[in-house]
Amino acid sequence: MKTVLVVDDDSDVRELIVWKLTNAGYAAMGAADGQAGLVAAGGGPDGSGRVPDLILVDWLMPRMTGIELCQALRAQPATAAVPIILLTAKAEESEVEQGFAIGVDDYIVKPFSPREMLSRVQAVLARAGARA
Amino acid sequence: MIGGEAVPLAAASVTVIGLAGAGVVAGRRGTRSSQAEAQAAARPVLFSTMDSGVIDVEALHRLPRRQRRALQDQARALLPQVRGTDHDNLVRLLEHTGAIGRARRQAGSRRSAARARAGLFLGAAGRPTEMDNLLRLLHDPVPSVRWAAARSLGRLGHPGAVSPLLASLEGDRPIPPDVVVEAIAQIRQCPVAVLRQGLSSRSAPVRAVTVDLLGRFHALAALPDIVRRLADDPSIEVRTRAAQALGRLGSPRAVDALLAALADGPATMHPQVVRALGEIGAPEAIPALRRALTGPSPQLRAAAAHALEAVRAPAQPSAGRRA
Repeated sequence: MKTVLVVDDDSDVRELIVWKLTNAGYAAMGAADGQAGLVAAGGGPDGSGRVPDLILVDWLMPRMTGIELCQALRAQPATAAVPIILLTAKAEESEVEQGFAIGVDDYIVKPFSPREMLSRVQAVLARAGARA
Repeated sequence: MIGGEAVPLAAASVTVIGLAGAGVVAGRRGTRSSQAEAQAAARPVLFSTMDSGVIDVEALHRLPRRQRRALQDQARALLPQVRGTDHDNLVRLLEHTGAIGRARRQAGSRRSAARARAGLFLGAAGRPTEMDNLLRLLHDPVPSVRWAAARSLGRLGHPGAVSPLLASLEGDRPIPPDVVVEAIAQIRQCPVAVLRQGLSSRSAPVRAVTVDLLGRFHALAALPDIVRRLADDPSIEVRTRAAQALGRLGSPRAVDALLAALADGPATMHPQVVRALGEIGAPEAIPALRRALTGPSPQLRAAAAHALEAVRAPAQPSAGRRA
């Protein structure tokens, strides 16, 4: 079973995505901010847990933004190659470029379609599987 | 002695206040945790309704009142965040619970905060039938209600809202240009022909918003009109937004006009002109951009440095954008 980590400070959106993913057969877990997301992505506080197969990150979060979290994930050996999908209300060309420049694998623009989100998760995981 | 008594009295007061404070904090924590429990209990009903589109009336009625309220609060919070089938199912659920009917009534409330909230909610619900309600709120006496209506009309995305939104920039109760830009920019099927009529308006805010939006919609056909606004519009705001629009269009056909604006136009628009030249990535602009590096304002110098960097090392091949 593939595991997906959802990092979003908006609890309604986070719980909805976790529910959708769980319903679709993924092992999904949520983190309420970038710091908690970074810890969870690295396999928990002691690093002994499972590193997720994919991470969904919200762009706008307090304390640590989605972009900062993505940079931190890419700098951490355990999570450097984990596919990331960025959830964002920002759809400007320059911002999309900024995300791809730091190694984000795909984008979902808010307001988002939860069904389309599932398709994108599936597609990114399939691409990552083909690469491995 | 008085002073001696005051100390224990003060200490007692501190203790009482401290205990009362702790009670309030514990009470709030309790409320928060019971609220979280109610939300968690309501989620399966909410999410499965969004997913399937089937409103399980019995399951809804089985929910205790607190959980029903939590379900409505979460549904309202999710409404502006989602689109597609889940959004449509959410709207049906909110219609069933009476939340949309209440919002329609609140659009006529005497309290401005209720009218603004209703406007935002009806826009997020995205029903074209709400257009008349929102157009009425666009002329509300209270600015926050008008702004909410403008944003919601943008969210609704109906092309018929473009003309009323442009008109809302004029009159006794104008809406700020950036609110209107943000609203119309959301209308994906915006009729560019209708928008272009705004270029000949006598109102400077209407012309400013129009050139801005023509750039955002990549309306290359309007390039000659935007160039004319850059060159000789009586409003500096319109000329500045025209420069910004030309940068967004990214066409080398605008370079001569931008260089002329940099040489002869008002200094306040120069940073925007320089940014546009950088976005177009025109090598022929390099000498002018170098001169701007020693310009009078820090904004101009910073924009020139950034533009020169973009012209010398374009991040993306700009061939596709050139027309």
